[in-house]
Amino acid sequence: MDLRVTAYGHSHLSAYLHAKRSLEAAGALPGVALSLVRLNLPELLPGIEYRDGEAVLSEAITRRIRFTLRRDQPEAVLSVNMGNEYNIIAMHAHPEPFDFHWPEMDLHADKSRTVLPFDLIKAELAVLANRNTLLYVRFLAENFAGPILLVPPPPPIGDDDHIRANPGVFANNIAAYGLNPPEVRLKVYMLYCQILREAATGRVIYYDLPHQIAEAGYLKKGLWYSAPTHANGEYGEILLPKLIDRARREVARAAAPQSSGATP
Amino acid sequence: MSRSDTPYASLPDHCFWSRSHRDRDLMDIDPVVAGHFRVTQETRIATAGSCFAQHVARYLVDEEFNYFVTETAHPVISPDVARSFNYGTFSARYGNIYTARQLLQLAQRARGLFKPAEDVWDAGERFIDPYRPAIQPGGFSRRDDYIADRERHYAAVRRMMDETELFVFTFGLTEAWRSKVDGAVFPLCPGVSGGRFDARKHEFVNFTVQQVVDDFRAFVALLRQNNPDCKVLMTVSPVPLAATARADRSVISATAYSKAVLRVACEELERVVKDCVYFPSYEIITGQHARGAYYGDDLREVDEAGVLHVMSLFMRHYTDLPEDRIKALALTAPLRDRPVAAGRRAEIERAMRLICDEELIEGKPNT
Repeated sequence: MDLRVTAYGHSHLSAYLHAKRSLEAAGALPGVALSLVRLNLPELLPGIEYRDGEAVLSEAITRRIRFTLRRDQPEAVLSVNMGNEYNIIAMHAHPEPFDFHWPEMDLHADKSRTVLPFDLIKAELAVLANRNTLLYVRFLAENFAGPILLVPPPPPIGDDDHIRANPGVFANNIAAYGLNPPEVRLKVYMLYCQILREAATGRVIYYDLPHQIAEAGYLKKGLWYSAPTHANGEYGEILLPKLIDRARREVARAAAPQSSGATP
Repeated sequence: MSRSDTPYASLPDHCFWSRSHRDRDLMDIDPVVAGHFRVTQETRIATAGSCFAQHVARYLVDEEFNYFVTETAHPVISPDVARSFNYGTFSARYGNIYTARQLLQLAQRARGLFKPAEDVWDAGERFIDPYRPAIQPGGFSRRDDYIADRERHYAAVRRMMDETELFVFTFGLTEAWRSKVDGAVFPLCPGVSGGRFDARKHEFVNFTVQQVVDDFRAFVALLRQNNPDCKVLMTVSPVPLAATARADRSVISATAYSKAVLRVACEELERVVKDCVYFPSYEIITGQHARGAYYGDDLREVDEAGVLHVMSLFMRHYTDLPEDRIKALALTAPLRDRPVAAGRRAEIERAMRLICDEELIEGKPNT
């Protein structure tokens, strides 16, 4: 019996869409019925609305998720939703350059820049995560009873030239303010991932990206997409089998009888 | 002798109880009489004080006065998060300042004239500033961040003191808790919002009129050390005490005492300190004419209509704002977001959603 897995996502899902096609063509995804649900189709936009100042998922999105959960009857869900929101802070330089200390990670600030209190920037990133990625994760947790793997976005691309050549939405701001140093981009990304990790409790499991996709923390060259923040299909090909394997283990773990501790 | 022969005969209506309120709508009752100076929309105005002072800041911002804020969050921080960390609540990030002694000691600490022995409250993995314990949610996660933030804060306080043209202070309380070691006054009793109360180290104090006057005079002297022309506007918070530490008094009596002391102190300060004037927001809210209508259900919080009454009279007597604008003061005026930072941020956020969509719909992975 194939393992039924459904993945929901936005732009970062494209790497997995490509990987699914190529892996299935090569017969490299055995024993799984994998459904990838794009939540950024034109008819689903905008996926997030603001009601009384609160970010909520649109009715079109919630209908789409509920429908596909009923249709696919997944045993595990992958959340590849959003994940670019940290770049609002991370990507382009600011007129008042900033940095922050993160001593636990042995990451220190460049004191020639404005050093932001760690708690303040963490709170800011938490707000961004909560009204983007985690909004979807919470909805999935409310509507799906099995394990949910929270898949973080790929690490940042450390090469400034690549980003400048493919600035995408950041073109104007990069032209106006320049790029944040790669170290700051990486540090903000890591803190954002830490927030996702802390939010993953119970059936929501934070998925640690494998080391092989990164070099010194940055997305490995060869896995870059022609965009400032996205990974390519090869990245998806590395991750997808691992994600399915992890989903399989989590489903088995959830199905295993819990020890009562009583002596038979 | 008829009444026309007495000194009262030539006095204006506002001097007579019956004429001060009879046949007038509540919002038209005006105990201010006259402003003592003019505030323009260019005048740099700084605020500090108890909770009620926050309303003053809010209206100054909304009416596009030059609300002087010297401690702002970095532009990458959104207005909501900045507010939750108390940026912009007052001119610097000092939180509520309830007593004149607390205000004086803040100025002394900022100028390096006082270093309290009780330097930080270490709450396990969090660090709390004893002198602004509620300044950020949960306190500071690192001692280094706390120390660095406090230095930034002191610099912001010094700049506020040196550059503001009008300093508005709302007196809140006479009751306080202080260190037995060096008299350092805490805004909240240790243990209420961080720290731990220790009867060997902490003691209760209820300041007298003379102490309030002396403390505030000393503060104004420090304020004017580098800023001799700075004007000062004093108000007394109409918000009753949440609790008294005096077991022999009802909080109702303790409130009456505390507010009376502060009110008398203001009268005395106005007399002895140049360009230091009292604005009667306390009377506007608590006076019999209001019949308690300006208080919320808890009989403590002042509602928006009350704040509006206070601020409209401030605008009328101290500014050149046209009367129709004063009447049209917004009832709820949130602190205005920094337009440039917020606008750029929103633009990126919107565009990023779009680019995500476009890439998936149109783009092909480049492998």
